[in-house]
Amino acid sequence: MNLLLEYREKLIKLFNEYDLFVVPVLKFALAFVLFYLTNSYYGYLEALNSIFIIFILAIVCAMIPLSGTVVVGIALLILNCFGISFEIGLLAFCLYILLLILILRFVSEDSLAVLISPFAFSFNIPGVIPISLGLAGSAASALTSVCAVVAFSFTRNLPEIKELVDLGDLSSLEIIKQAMDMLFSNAEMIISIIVFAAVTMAVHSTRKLLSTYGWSTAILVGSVLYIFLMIIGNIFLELNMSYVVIIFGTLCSAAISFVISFFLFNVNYEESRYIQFEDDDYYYYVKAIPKTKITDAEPAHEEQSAEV
Amino acid sequence: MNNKRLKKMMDLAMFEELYGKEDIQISRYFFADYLVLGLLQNFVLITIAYIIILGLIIIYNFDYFAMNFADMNLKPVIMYIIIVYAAILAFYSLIVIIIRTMKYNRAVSKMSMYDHKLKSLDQISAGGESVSAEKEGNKKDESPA
Repeated sequence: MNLLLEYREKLIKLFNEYDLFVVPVLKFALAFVLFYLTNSYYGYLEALNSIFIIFILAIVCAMIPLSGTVVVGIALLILNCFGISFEIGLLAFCLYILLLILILRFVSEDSLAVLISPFAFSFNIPGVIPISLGLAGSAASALTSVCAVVAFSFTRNLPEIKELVDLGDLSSLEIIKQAMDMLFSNAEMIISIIVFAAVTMAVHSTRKLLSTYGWSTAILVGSVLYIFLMIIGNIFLELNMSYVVIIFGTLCSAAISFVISFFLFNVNYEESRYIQFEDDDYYYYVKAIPKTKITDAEPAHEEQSAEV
Repeated sequence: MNNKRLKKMMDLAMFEELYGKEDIQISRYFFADYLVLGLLQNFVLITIAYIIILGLIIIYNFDYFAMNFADMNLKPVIMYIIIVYAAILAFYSLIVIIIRTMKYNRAVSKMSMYDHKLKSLDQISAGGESVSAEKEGNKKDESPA
């Protein structure tokens, strides 16, 4: 544990010293991975299936705020939907515009979850989304987790929709109707929405209410609640989801959330700030480097480092 | 250089350029104007969203509408559409009013702290000027005639 604390301190120091380079590199890496996965899973438009284009987009995203990466990622997904057919591309565009106008404009800080959710579900670790949102966000992040479920439910059906379109039997209206049926007549999506919202709020409330071991308890509460609600939903709605996948996936999600919370969420990774001002006599160019401090640190960590 | 004054100036500069940028922009509006701007944006966005939703509903039920449109009594349908639109608009307008009111009050309180810090910077600068004026005066007295 002390070794981990040591590594964390080194990481924070490194970040604070070289944040001018580290932040763009991290943003580039995140954008590259997300866009690569988007093209791998949903690469229906041949023109965009190029590592060079992903590379260029990732470089652009390294220089813009994180919300810009989300917009570019969603645009990439919508363009790939146009590769299936014009109607599906239009439906994807309408869906994301609706999510943006009705929900995401109020919780724009968490919108990265909407981009990550299809891949979290594909890797069978969907629990990481509501748990991380509950840890990092606010009670309103429950709305973001709802959007994440809707985004995944739409993208999950894209291969099936592509097969229908490729058959060539359906008209444009029938294609849209089929796609909307797959999205909205989906009991698994309804259950997932309820579970995600409940888990996000439970994790957030637990983290806020408990001063000692708040983060760890919140993750455990979120994981247990997620497993419990998914099993209940599976039984009552006869969804035939694998219990092993639910439980194992949630355990992996909890482990990932622990790692994320340890390295990211309860430490101060504030970047150095560059400001300039002047008075009558001087121009001042100031670099403010935040001191390494741990916010909301759990007493257990402090006790262990004190013992050393 | 006066370290106390420098620290105050840095504090104010960090607020202006980093943490308080949004609050400074918000405080430039009167409360009513800030609210009306938000409500206008909300009106446009909700109207666009409602048109999209209506379009999707019509596409989904296109067969039904195509067969029954001629026999349909449009008046209650249009009334229903308008009432639902008004309800959704009212709901989101309420959310926008609550959020914007909270943001405005927070911005105003932060700006009053900013003004307070500006005044204390003025006091430090004025104190520094009077001390340096005194030193200049002493130097003139001490210099050989």
